[in-house]
Amino acid sequence: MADELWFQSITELSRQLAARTLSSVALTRAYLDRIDRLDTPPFPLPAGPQDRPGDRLASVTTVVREQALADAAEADRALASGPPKSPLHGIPYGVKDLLDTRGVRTTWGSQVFASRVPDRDAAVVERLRATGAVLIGKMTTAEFAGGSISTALNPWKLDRSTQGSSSGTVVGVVAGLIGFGIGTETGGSIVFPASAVGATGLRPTFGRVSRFGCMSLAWSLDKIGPVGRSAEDCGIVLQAIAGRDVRDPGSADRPFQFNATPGSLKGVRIGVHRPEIDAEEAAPNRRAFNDALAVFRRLGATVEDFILPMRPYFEVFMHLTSVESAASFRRLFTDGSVNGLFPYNWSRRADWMAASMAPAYDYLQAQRIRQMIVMDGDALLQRFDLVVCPTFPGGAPDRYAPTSPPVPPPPVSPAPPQLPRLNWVGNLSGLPGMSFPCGFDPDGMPLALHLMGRPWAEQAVIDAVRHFQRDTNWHTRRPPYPWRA
Amino acid sequence: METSRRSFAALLGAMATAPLWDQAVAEAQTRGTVTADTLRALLDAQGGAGIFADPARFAELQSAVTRSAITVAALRAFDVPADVPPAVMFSRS
Repeated sequence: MADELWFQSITELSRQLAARTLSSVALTRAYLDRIDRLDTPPFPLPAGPQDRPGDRLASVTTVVREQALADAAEADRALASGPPKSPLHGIPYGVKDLLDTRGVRTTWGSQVFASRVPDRDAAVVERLRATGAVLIGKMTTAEFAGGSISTALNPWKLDRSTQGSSSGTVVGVVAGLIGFGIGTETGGSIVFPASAVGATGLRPTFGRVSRFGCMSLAWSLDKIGPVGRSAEDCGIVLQAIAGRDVRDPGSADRPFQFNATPGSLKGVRIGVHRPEIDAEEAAPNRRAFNDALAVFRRLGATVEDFILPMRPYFEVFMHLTSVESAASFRRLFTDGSVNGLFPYNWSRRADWMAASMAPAYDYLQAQRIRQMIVMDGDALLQRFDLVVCPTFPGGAPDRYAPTSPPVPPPPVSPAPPQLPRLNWVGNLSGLPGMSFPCGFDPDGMPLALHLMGRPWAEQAVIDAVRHFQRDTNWHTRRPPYPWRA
Repeated sequence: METSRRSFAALLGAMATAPLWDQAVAEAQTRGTVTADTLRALLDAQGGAGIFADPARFAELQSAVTRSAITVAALRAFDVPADVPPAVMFSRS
């Protein structure tokens, strides 16, 4: 079996499965063998970041071996007797370990829940099961989806961060361990790791995908979305998982029908948040971002700069997330399990307690500023069809591996005004956004752009990235094995 | 209904939480940190120190409350037009 198989697109795999030149069992075994060989670390998962992690990627917390092989055999039987249920029929995938899976442990990345086995599937897992996709792994996440802590390693360079809580999912996709993956995003947890590791990741419009059966980090901000090796893969998966679900009152009656033929980019107006490019210190990175924007221009789009207004974006995001997380995780304090958090999360535990002390009117003030940010975003997307910025200022930074419990940080002084970042507008406004590779930094780490569109305009975002990916090959570059130390 | 001394103290503390939080915000802005006394009072209002009775954990919480208070100060300082409602809505759609 050629190595290339691990990296094939959903469309390519689907065509072979339907033609029965490839069986789902063979494909599932191939991925399982690769996980055994490249991913499974010598320490148990879930775990915190390791001082000496070795060279196994640790992107899969729980391998779903027997069930995956049984489901693959069932897919082969069905494909032998009729047409595929969907383009995902028989394709192995991984889901971030925040989403419940019936009979398979769901740990939320924490030792506290290392033995938690749900008796239900999350809505997204139910929907993927109905398409005939094969669940192969529960993908590593930072404990309770916390920040940029990296337990999963970056296959482009093992000493670099994977930058966000969906890191297991993106590493699995980029290293060819799964056919596609499911991540979640509250403030950047799909797009940031997708940038750091070189995947294509889609944050859908808030409400597009049901969150039933998924850990809640912040109810008013949480989104679930696909991660793939191309924009087309993400579109196919989004169609499978989108739609209203009465069990998630935040979900909308907005199913998504993926159009496989992208519309033209001619005349499409793309706005560039120029200050985020200019703020990048490394000239080669700025050049890479500008070269990528030139591709859109060459394809017929008009590309024009804009500047976001000054708003306390970061403060709004932090306060909303902290207060909602404090409410969501309150029971960890009442039942004492908060003592079982990994040391790297002890300061976050303190943040939850601090947030629970703040009065309601501060939360409402943050939501009022958020409303202004939403209106800013709506006005911006009247002027432009799409808006874009670097997903992250540069390539993935060094990974953080605490060697001992953290010491309390010193008291903080008021922070200087921060550069407004389009990502905050996208997440606070619930806009769809896609991160896609657009080059490499001088250290050989992936760079990415983050393209956003109007609410419910995922197709426009996907179309633009598909045109970009037809014209470039950044998304087809693979980290060479053995991984760089 | 029996009311323990501790739960009564927590009830009184909860009633005083908003002024205590305002005190924390003011301290964070003027001194760069929330004082231990204010933090203890805030913890009492929560019903006790719990895991934060440990000095190292207390120090972590002091930093966290200071961070949160400074964040809140920035939010309070931002002028929002009176006709802008919070992005929180109950609907039956």
